[in-house]
Amino acid sequence: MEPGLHNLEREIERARASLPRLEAIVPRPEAVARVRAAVAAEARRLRAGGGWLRAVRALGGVAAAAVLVFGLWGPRAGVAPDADSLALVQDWGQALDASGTQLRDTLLGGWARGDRPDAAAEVDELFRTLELSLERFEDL
Amino acid sequence: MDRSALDELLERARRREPDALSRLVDLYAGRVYGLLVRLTRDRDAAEDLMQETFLRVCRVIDQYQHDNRFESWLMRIAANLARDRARQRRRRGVTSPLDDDEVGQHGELSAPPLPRPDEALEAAEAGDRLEAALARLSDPEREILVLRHYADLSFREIADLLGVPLGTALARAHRALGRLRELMRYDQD
Repeated sequence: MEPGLHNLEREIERARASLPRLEAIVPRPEAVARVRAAVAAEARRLRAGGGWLRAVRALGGVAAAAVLVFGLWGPRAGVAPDADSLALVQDWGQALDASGTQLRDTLLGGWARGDRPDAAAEVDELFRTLELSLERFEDL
Repeated sequence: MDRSALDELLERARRREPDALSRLVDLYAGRVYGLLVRLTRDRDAAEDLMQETFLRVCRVIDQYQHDNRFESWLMRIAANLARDRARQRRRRGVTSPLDDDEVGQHGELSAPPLPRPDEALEAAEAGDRLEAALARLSDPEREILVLRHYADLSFREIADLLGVPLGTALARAHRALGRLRELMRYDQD
């Protein structure tokens, strides 16, 4: 802390020390009881919710483990990629790229602001590239 | 409550054991309520905010870092909720927190609950003067003094809470203290 601020804080603390004590303001017992009940109910609700979440996580973990085991020890047919499969993957990747570029250009070009007269055509093109990328994915 | 007992209680509260959370309410409701009454000047609102504070604690207690400053952490939650309420009221155009209907149905803030013994009278009167002078400060001035003097937050914590530089918080506190002393002197005369 800067020396100036430090001195100011010391001065404030000295002045504050001379203030009388503030009396405690006590809440009504029924208000405290209400808070206690609300908090206990909330805790139970969160614990129950937490249990459900833990169960979902556990199921997710089991599913992921099953997929992993299947991938490691499951049927191996077609594991070695052939040239056609690689070409399909590359096609899909390119189609996805084109779709992403189109989306970016359309959005950055002001489509959302509505100040592009040819926006409708661009949006059509965007959906066409998106569709193409999905077709390529289906081919995989 | 000693530190290890509090740590154990907080650990149980972190596991959301209802008993532990209820115990935290018993331990801190008075302090939280006192802070909220002084910040809002409204006992009914303070009761609602007290409940919201402890519900918030229940939801986010796993985010509390064990740094032996649980009370400060709790007070910050309460003060933030009071600030949110003040912001909402400003947006709705409610500007004066000291209107008569804002005092709430449970009486004046500084009304003594019981007759005081003579030996405590002078101290109690000084406390009343302080309370009355605090009530006449502007909201930002009162807020900063209450957070320091009552909630016991450091000026660094207060500056973070208010989202202002430390220098601004200190300057505001200095100005507020000056005005408070003036008001208390005026009340005494």
